[in-house]
Amino acid sequence: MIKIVLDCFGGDHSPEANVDGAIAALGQFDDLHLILSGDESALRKCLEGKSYDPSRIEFLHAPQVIGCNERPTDVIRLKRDSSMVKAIRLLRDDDSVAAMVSTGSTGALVAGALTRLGRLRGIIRPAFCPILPTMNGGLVGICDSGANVEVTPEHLRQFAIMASLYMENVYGVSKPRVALLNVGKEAEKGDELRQTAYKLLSETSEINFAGNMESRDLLSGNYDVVVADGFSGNVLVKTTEGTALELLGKLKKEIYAKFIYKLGGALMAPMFRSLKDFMNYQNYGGSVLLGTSKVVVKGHGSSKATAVCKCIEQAYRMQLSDLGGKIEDVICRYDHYEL
Amino acid sequence: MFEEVKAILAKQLRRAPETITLDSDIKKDLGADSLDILQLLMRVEDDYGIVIPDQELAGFRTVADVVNFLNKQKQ
Repeated sequence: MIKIVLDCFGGDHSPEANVDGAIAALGQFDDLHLILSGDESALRKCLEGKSYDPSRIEFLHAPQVIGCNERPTDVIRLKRDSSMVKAIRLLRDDDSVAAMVSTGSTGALVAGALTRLGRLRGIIRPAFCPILPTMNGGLVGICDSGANVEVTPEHLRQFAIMASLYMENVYGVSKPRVALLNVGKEAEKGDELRQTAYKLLSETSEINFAGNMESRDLLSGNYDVVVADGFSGNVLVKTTEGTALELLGKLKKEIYAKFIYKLGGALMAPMFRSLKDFMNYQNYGGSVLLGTSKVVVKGHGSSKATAVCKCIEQAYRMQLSDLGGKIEDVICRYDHYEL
Repeated sequence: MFEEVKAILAKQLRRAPETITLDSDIKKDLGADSLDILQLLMRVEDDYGIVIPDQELAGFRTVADVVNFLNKQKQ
């Protein structure tokens, strides 16, 4: 049995989307057990009239909610009865709970997970790793995308190892091609951090290092993992998502501008639907926090039931593949830590 | 109080409890980094139902500093 605690509040469509996503996930995995964190009466109301096995759902009553505009480092310490803090504490204290999923405040979740959960052995800094679809039908993981603004080359090497193992074990990518985000492809490009990291990554036999990558090549399909400091990684992900959405919007506007374009647009409707599905983050789950002692998955704030279900699936597969154990094994072997 | 803090530190830093003394420097002797110290303090806040003021957070160097702070809170 894999037990996952789901923070059911704090998202744009909470708690309904979280509860519906939970029910959908229970339908996918027979050995999945969920703990719903949040106001119990509100959660029970959401479950009314829905078909699910009540023996596979528990409640963690938490009357408070952490809002997205609250200061993460404060609320994570002061709002102890919030659905997020109670879920993190349960994950830390209960050995039978394997993972946590939340669609609430990213800042609060990072602060809470980093300061309460602890790290896998040998990990210096946990890192966020969202995934995006690529042009050849694959996926690319970007690590880090916001947990660590300042990093060292050693941090980047650990991000590369963790994300590489994640893509391999959770998405079945064989020998993931790892790239370092930089301003040019040549080894000597970038600042001292990037140049030293390039050398370090080249010498790391546990990864399949493919060299530097410029941001425009993120979705090319030539890379499976992109390593970056949290600031650059976050800008990269948001710029890519924003550009794609703006272009889609512009395309729609142009098509509706003239009658003849509308006719052409109608003929291409299936293609547009397919394109929309391809770019819809709801279909790809959330961003995982790699390197914490237990699995943490952060869904988009506007996640609907499909996205919540995908996030639970990610957490389930991470636990099933013993990703944490595999990361510890490689990191400790490489760094000569004692297991 | 020392025994309780020692138990938290031993588990968190994966160290034998007997290697932790009141004089142990949390960073230098026990090998903790800044994230370990924050984690320790969050654990203390959760377990004792207190909030450690921000200005105090940076002042903990040895195990005795943490124990003395908690003893004061208890009084």
